[in-house]
Amino acid sequence: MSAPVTTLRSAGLRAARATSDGIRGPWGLPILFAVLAAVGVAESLRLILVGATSEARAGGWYLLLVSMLIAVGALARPDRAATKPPAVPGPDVVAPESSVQAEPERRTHAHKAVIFFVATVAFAWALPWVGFAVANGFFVAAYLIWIDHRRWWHALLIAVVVDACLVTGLRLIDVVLPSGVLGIGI
Amino acid sequence: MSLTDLAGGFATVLSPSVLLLALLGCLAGTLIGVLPGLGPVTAVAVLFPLTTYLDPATGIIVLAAIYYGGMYGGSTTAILLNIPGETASVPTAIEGNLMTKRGRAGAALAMAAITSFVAGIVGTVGVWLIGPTLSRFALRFGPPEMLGLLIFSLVTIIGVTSTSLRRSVAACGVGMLIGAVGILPASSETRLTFGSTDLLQGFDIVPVMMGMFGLAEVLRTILRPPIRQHEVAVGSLRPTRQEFTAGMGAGVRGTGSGFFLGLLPGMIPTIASFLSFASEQRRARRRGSSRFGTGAVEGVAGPEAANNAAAMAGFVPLLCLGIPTGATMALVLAAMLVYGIIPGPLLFGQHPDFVASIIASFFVANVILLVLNLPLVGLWAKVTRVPTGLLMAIVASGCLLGAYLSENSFTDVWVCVVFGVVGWLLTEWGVPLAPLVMGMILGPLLEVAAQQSFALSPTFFLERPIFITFAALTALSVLFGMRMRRKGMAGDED
Repeated sequence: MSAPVTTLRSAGLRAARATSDGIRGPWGLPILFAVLAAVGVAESLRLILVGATSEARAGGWYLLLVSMLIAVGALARPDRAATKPPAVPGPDVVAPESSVQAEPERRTHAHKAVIFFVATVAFAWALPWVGFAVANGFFVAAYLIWIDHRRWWHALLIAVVVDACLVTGLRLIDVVLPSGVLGIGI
Repeated sequence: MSLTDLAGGFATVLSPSVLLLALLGCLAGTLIGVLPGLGPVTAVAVLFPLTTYLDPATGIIVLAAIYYGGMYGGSTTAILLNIPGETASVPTAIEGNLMTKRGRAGAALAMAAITSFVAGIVGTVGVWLIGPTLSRFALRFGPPEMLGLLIFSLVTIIGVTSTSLRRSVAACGVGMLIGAVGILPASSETRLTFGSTDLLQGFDIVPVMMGMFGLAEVLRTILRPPIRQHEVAVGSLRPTRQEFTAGMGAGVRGTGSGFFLGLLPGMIPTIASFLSFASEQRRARRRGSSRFGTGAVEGVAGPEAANNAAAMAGFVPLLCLGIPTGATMALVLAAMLVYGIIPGPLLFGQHPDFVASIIASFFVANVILLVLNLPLVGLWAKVTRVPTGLLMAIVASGCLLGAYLSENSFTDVWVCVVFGVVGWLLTEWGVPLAPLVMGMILGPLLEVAAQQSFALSPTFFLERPIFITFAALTALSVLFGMRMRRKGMAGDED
């Protein structure tokens, strides 16, 4: 039972580290800006060349201008800090204490970010089906168990109390919460 | 606006229910503001949807209270823990935390609160006096003048945020690209919708901001190594006579410079705060009695006053011209639009009672913060030591709920999630979010103004004196931005 969980966990950690390293590499941002600029240029050309009205063509020119602004970002030099190999602490190079400690700590927190993202997507997906009261309860519990590392019964207890307080407080000020197909928390 | 209007505004604000809500707004704003890493933008973003259930005047009053509370909370953590909740509190953290280490935390907090209060009151009077005059002047604005003003605002915010000009320009472009999604103005054709009916109306600003300033902030907090906090003795809140005199002097100077800088569209409070710190440091060095580096009260009082005065002054372009000066003001603008109030030159004339209530609420929120939060400073210091896990979970679910509540749309929840990731990614890459937000809000206005201006006259830029004035101001702002960049004083965010 524990072997698949461990494998899954280490795969998650590897994925989180790979994502983190990719994001923090020197070319991520220029590539993103280049893609956005290309999308903008393609759409602007469509409007300029086949736009039915003069307003549509004007909108195309505006978009072309905006794409040029984004292209400026794509042409920016990659981050020097990201391209430079990290300084190796030695007799002449003393790495600041904070940076030496922060990097491994940051890496161990990367899997928490992945868990947070999954929990957030699950919340957004579940909201129309189960309503805010249930989705929020599970979200808070999941956060406390997997990100805040609390005991499951402790996390559940806190989630129920927080959820009840939130829903009651919001209902008191007449906030209409999504209740889902089961109508929970109306 | 007459004194009678203002008296009516006070009558609205001082009703028990509104006062209670303002009080709760201050407390909630401060609670979020004292959380390490979270500032007034997040406080306003998370709590704004709840204010939409109130009437417009009360909603804006509560929003202003949340904003002030968030700013106060940010400076508390800056002084006590050296953790600025927002970039504008960075200068406060430098000298404020040194005062804490000298055992003068109470005095630093008291001077920050007093000078913020003075700046807030002076700023409010300034809004009251300047607002109606600027509104009357703005009535002369046609599309070319508006275009000039919008270009000036965007160029200024690009110039003063981030140390990389190219990234700021590109961020503004990305914001304009996001703002361009949907049906084209004055046309039935669509742009960047890729056949999706959900994108026909474009992106609503509220879920985008909730994602970029709420969810992304929670993500950053999760990734940040936990801050090991230790007990901080606040000590006596009473400043010595010397501290009071020096602090008040710096506060008055900060108020003056902050207010006038804050009037400029695009000039975010962060810049006023940094400029005040630099000016106080220079002044102290010139006088040969610099305590900077050992905990100078001027380094706390000046930036705090400048920050508050600039934040207040930001309401002038927002109310009179409909131009936000930064991310928080953009949220206030979004809130006003949700309430059905369109800020602009006609606002002072058509809704004097509404504007009077807002101005009165600024006075009241400042008084509440001074009277209530200063005695509670010990409590806020304790809040910073509470494990943030639970609060972050609530902030995250509050963002998702808020995104839904803005239009009762589940699509907006997904928009919030996507922009949460986008906001986090961009800040990881050092891209400032303020130009992006401004580009998203002002881009569509700029496009319409440009089309109308060219329709009026293809050579409008040579014919309209106000446009030419704005063009000159834009050139000046470019020079100012370059100078700030050289001095390394460009800020990161609102």
